[in-house]
Amino acid sequence: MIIGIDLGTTNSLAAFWQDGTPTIIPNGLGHNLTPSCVSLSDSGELLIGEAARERLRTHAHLSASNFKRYMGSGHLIRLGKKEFRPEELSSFVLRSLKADAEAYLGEPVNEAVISVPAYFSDAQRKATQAAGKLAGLKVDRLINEPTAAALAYGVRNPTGEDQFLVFDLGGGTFDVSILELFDGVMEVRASAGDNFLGGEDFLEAVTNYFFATSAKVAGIAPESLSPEQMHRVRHAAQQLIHQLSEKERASFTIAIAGQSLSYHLDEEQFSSLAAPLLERIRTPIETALRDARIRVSNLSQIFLAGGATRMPIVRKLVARMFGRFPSCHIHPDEVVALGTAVQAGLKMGDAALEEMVMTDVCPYSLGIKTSQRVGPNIGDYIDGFYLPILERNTVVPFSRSQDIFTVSDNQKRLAIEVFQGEARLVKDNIPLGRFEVEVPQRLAGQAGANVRFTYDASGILEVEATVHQTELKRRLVIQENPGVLSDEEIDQRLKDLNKIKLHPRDDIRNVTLLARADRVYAEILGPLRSSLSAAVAHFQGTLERQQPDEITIAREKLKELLDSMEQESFITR
Amino acid sequence: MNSIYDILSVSPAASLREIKKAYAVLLKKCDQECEPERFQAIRQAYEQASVLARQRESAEELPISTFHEGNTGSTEEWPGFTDQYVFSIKGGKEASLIGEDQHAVPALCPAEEVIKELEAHYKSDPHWHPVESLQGYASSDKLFALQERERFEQLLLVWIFEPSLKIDWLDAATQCFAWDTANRHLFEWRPDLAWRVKRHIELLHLIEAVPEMAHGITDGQYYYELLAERELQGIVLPIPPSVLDRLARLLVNLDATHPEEARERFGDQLIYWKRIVDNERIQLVQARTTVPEKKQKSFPFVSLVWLLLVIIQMAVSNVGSSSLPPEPLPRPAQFAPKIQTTGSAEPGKCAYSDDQLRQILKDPKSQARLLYALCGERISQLILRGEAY
Repeated sequence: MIIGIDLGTTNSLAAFWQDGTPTIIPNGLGHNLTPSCVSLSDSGELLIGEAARERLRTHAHLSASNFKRYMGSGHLIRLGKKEFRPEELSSFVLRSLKADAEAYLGEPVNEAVISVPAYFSDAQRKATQAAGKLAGLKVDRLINEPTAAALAYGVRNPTGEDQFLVFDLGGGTFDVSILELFDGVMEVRASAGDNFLGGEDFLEAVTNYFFATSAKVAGIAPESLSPEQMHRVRHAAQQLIHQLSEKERASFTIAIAGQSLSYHLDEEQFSSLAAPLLERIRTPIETALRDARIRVSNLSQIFLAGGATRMPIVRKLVARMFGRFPSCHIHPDEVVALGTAVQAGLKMGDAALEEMVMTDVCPYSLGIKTSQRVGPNIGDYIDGFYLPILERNTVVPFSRSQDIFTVSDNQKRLAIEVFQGEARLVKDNIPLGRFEVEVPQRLAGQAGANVRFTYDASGILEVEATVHQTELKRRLVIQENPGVLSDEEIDQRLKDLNKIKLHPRDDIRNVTLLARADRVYAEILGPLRSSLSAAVAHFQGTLERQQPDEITIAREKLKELLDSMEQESFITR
Repeated sequence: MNSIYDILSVSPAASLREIKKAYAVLLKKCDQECEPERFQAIRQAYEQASVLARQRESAEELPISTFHEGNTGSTEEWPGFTDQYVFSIKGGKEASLIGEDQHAVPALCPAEEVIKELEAHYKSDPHWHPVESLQGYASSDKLFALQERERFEQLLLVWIFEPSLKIDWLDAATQCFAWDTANRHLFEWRPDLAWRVKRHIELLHLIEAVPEMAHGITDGQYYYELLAERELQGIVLPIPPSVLDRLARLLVNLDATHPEEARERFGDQLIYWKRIVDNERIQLVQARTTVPEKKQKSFPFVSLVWLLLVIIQMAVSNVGSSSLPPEPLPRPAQFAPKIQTTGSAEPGKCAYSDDQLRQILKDPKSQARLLYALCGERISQLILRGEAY
């Protein structure tokens, strides 16, 4: 069975293809969304999702979130005594989704199609594949998020003819894709995006505003707060943004460092806070339209994907920019996951999808560093120029080669440095890797090599150089890149990671509830604390007696208590 | 080698719709992941065929043929001449464009307001900086909606060309709005002007290859590829006569002055270009080949062009040393018969009549005008700066 997974910055989802339609797989709590959070429990087991998100605010040093933003960078994140790579943390989330899918489907799941932001670089894509491997999932196929969203929409109308735009603002990334649908062919015409623009940035803007206003008046500096308190402020800001989706003004009170701080924001203020972020949305849209060679008036619809598109300020921006209201028939949180399930169906060769085929593009240019002659003499070369070999928005899979030559007499080696980006000089582009080939010593320009770039449907790049005279072949060795794990490293890490166990799935509801109780306890003050403490002790006592019916009742009771306490604590005034 | 039409199994006259259908059928039979080469072949055939079909279909719709057929002696390229095709700003297409806006339509749409504002400002201050002002407008709130922006660009296009060409504004608009790549809205609005923009940009690319030859790909290379591709497809793409004209000069001058070096550096490419130019029967080629080398000095402006082109040539050959076109190009011999079969090689195809060309060759003033038409104010700036004689 192949499932589809949307591995998001904030939330992750799994879905599968069945009976001609994609379906979301609920997690152990019965929810569709699993927060992309990881936490180590006190006994050293892994908690994923809701429980881990609660623990962010009580055990920040044992918990992690937003690690997708570090994918492919080699940045280490500390959980307790151990440091983890972002792909390892992602693999924990994948492991949990895999367990949920196996429980739901009743059969083993060993392969997945995982979605990545269209603008993810080569290293970030490879890190995502590594995360899959670490979770025991074969990941042959990655799919770009806006493409997945488009598939979810396109699969409803496979024989139609249409051109539309997908606007995908997720937790951490922004992508825009323009698609054309004809005769069952789903063709991505162009994709563009911003890898560091998403809902989290809006949250950041609001928290910064809080520290600059209410907190400053109260004399609280962000540096003085513990990680737990920071997470609580962020959570409060999140609540505020959610409230602003429904009404024009929102506010609530948060207890920090023995003080009770209130926190107000109206839509206008929020718009001005978000203005610098909203401005960054425009450029990728213009680039995509230009590259797709499609006029705005020829787009039939604007589809929204990603949780951050629920913010009214984003919807208004889209409406103003395109002069029409965007559509979101499918839940924006789920649309990408549903699309990955369609791709999984395509991959399994499902009969319902026989008449459907999808082509995607590479959203950025890939090339090598070259020297250019700048004067009449043999030695008048300047290096550092970018020679694109694959131009951006080329349909993939694609392969193209280019001949390069030596620039000085008796040159022994050709250095092939691979870059990604659009700038004229390589220093302004992203380095992907470097390798050298030996060439026979000849006069300048007499020896050379053929460099072939091959970019597959998942967005993985392979570079191979063949020396003209000697037929010597070399491939780009990616291990040099600190953001990418080699196969051996993956195997090694896999052994280590297998020692860390996931918390038993059947117990997940109780653990989540206890984590939530801990978090609420930390947030409330006064007499409420003692009553909560007593309720938690009672629940734990019930758990030890191991009577399922009794546990269910006790769980509901505790949940009600927590709900009411949270209501009181975050009263919206 | 199979032609693109063989790969798609459609006739060369197939419509865009038929091509899409054939492509869809083929694509469903091809596993992209397992047969990447086959996929790439199908894909490339589809892309090329659809570009050609689209061009053919839009050419049928074009209200005005530009330079492609019998544009002999067009005054279009000569500044100062009134344009033959005058549309008013309030053209017939306007209504349908505004109609797409769902919101209440004011007396003037924001784009029109902005263009009025711009015109007023321009009249009061003709030396106003075009790039800065256009950038200002581009980020202004009034043009926030993408359709409004598109409309502003359309109106700007007309404003730039009519009543007289404002070349610095054309450069600025090209720079600010990427008219070199995003020009579909311009073509739909005023194809005649859009072609002129396109031609202007192509020429700028050639000229700019000189100081900026350090760019990754010089435009000489681009032109070579463009021509080669065109030949491969056996179909005449519209190449601006002015560009052919420049290519002709380039070849003639190289031949006349450094024949050995030119061949050595360029080899097949040189012969190939020459063939294309010859086949287009640019009269200038013949006229110029008869001019003895030494007489060059009596044509200072032509020599100037020559100088520029030789530098371009260097730029082109330099790229040759670090990178060559990806696929080996077929030998020129293979092209020759094809070119003859295109049957479009009529003597009158060049933008200038024989008489005009003769006049150009005799008269430095005409040369200056031609050069100005080709290169705009850059040339005069070069001369003013004393960089050229």
